[in-house]
Amino acid sequence: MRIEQFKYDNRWVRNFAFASFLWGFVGMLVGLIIACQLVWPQLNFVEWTSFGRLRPLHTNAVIFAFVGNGLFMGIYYSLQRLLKTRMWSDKLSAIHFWGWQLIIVSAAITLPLGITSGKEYAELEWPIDIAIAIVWIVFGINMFATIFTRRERHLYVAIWFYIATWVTVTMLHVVNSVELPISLFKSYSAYAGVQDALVQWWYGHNAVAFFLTTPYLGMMYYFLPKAANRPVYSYRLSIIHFWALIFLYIWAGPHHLLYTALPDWAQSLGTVFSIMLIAPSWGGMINGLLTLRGAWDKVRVDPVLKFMVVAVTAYGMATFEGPMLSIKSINAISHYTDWTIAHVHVGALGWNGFLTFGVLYWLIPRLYKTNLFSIKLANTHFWLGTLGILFYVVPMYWAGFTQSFMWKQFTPEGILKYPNFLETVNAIKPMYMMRALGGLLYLTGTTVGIYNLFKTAGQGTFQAEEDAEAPALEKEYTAHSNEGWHRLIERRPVQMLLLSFALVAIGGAVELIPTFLIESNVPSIASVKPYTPLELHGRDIYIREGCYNCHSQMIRPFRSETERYGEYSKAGEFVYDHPFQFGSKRNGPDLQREGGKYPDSWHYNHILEPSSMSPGSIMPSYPHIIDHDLDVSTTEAKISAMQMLGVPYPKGYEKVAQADVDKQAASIADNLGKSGIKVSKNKEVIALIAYLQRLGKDIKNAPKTPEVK
Amino acid sequence: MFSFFKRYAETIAGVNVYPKISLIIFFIFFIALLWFALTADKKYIQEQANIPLD
Repeated sequence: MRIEQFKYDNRWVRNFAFASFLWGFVGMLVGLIIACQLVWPQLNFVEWTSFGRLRPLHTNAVIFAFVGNGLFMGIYYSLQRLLKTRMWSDKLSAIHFWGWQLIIVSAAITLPLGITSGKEYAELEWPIDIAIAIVWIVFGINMFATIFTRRERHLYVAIWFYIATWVTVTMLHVVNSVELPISLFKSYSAYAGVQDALVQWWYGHNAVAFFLTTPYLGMMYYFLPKAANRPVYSYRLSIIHFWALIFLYIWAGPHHLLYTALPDWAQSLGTVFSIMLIAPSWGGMINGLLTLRGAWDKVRVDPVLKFMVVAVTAYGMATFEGPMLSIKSINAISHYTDWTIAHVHVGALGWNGFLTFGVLYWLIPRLYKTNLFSIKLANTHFWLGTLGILFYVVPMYWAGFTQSFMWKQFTPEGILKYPNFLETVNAIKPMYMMRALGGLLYLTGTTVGIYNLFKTAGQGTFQAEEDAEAPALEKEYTAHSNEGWHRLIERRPVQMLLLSFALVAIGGAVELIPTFLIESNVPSIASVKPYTPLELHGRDIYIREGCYNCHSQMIRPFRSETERYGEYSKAGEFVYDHPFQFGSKRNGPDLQREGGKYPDSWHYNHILEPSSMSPGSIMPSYPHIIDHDLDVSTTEAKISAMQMLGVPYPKGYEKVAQADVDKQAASIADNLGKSGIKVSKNKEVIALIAYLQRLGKDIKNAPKTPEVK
Repeated sequence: MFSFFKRYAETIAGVNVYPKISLIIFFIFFIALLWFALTADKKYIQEQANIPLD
């Protein structure tokens, strides 16, 4: 057997590591800022830093910049060692690294500018979507080529998780990003309403599954045994964990849409699969924790293991809570409240955050051939982080319950006890302050951690090339006699890729295809008409400002909601909504039936200064919408795009749409003038008012029993 | 061009076969998975588990 000498490439591992914690700092800082904005709305400052624009920046930065770079770090390090080979191409590694950072920078620029597609965690506009696809494929080529040139015949379970991550994220990103551009910075989702919502949450949920979870589970299966210096508790369990997890996860997306206008069968499917997910998730957690059996004494002294134990525990808590939240009666309480925010932060701060730092504390000293600069500081980081998580999630659970109970509370006479939405908002402000304190503690911990890692790097010497040797892989291979059929897959990466793809595609196909193809799933309502061109412009302002980050447009069929907001939402009302704007939390009231509730002048004053109309409001003020002229150069392009997507404007309407814009704008300006508000008809505020006044009105024009085709 | 995504497409013929196929796939998948995991050769499993520590 010939022993081959080669070198592991540590350069890009190191770069991804640094990118991860530096972007992590930025993402968490933005998180702290928006947490404070919810208490002190004057912190919204200018249009580019208002809550609706910064919140997508926070979520994207944490998911794709912090965790994204973190998972690339973990994969680039462990893949080489598990396969006993160098990453296939240094050039592709470089393109991957710099391409990803460029995407992050472009996100950090475009999101505050209000350039957004308006779909949560997929806000980036189409040119960036394409760049993401290209860089992701570069990463895929580099990874698979590395796998093909390996010196270890068997693929360790961590690599299966990496393969599933790559193939599923590719599928999700492509399907969810089908959009029709009307300019360099603006596009419309090809799907509409309920269908768009289903695709989006199929994507959104599985971004959690296959971006925040599977690659990190792969890292757990590599770095936890490394740090504990013992093999994983049960490799059999890890096999079941992997296949069951990827098979079940993809179906769970509709649990984000319980009690909405989504067809009931799809909701039930989402619930059933979400509950089943407890099994593989807890199998994985137990496998991680039991790996430390007989090594718990090390957990007391080794900060790496401390971080990992809390991370795996947080994984277990979040994956228990997730299925519970997918039960309809629990979701009825939790949805739209801060309970969801607490839930995702157990995952983000606990699971992703702590596993990233556990790996960093293990990895950086090894890359720099030195010891950790200060174990004491690492322990300080650990405790600041743990307290930060507690101070974050406990007030948010409290806030969530408070919101829900106040929204649903009736007096003995049967009317809403807290009819003014602001009563809830003001009741939970103290909780928001405590949450901000939790965020500050966590961020302080991160800062201590970054200092410690820089000091560690400073006292060592970076080893970009690490010598290694391993026997070459023999071409001829005779299988063991009693070899199971599974091994036919696990040492064949292409088969593994195809089988993983087949498994994740089944779930998606069964949910998505019937929703698109069966007409009865979205009963049409004859009185629902396309938006006027001015309303369409207004809708784009609504999307640009990220209003969906605080306002839902989906009234669930509960008495507490129909009393407060009006008739519950029907699937047929959203058929012209490219993209859908259901929203996912209510820091402000639902807007689905906003049309006609208040006069135009109320909206004008409310947009200019919300607290003038709603004392105590935490909504940012939007003077720029009052000042800016509406860009009508895109009227024709917008109508044409909608026609292409199947919105039934009359043929040739795009040419004359502008006249309708002017007419409707003049009438609204006129109406405002009567209330003593002098405003030119070509301001953005006019379009936004037009849109808000249209919301949810169409079904009121319907005959008594809505005609269902 | 995007008409595929519109809801006016007609009913898929025999759509109720979907859940049956799903159940069968599901059942077979998990039985096969458990079968493999529980019967796998012990030596092989140990080798795999030790790959990260080599």
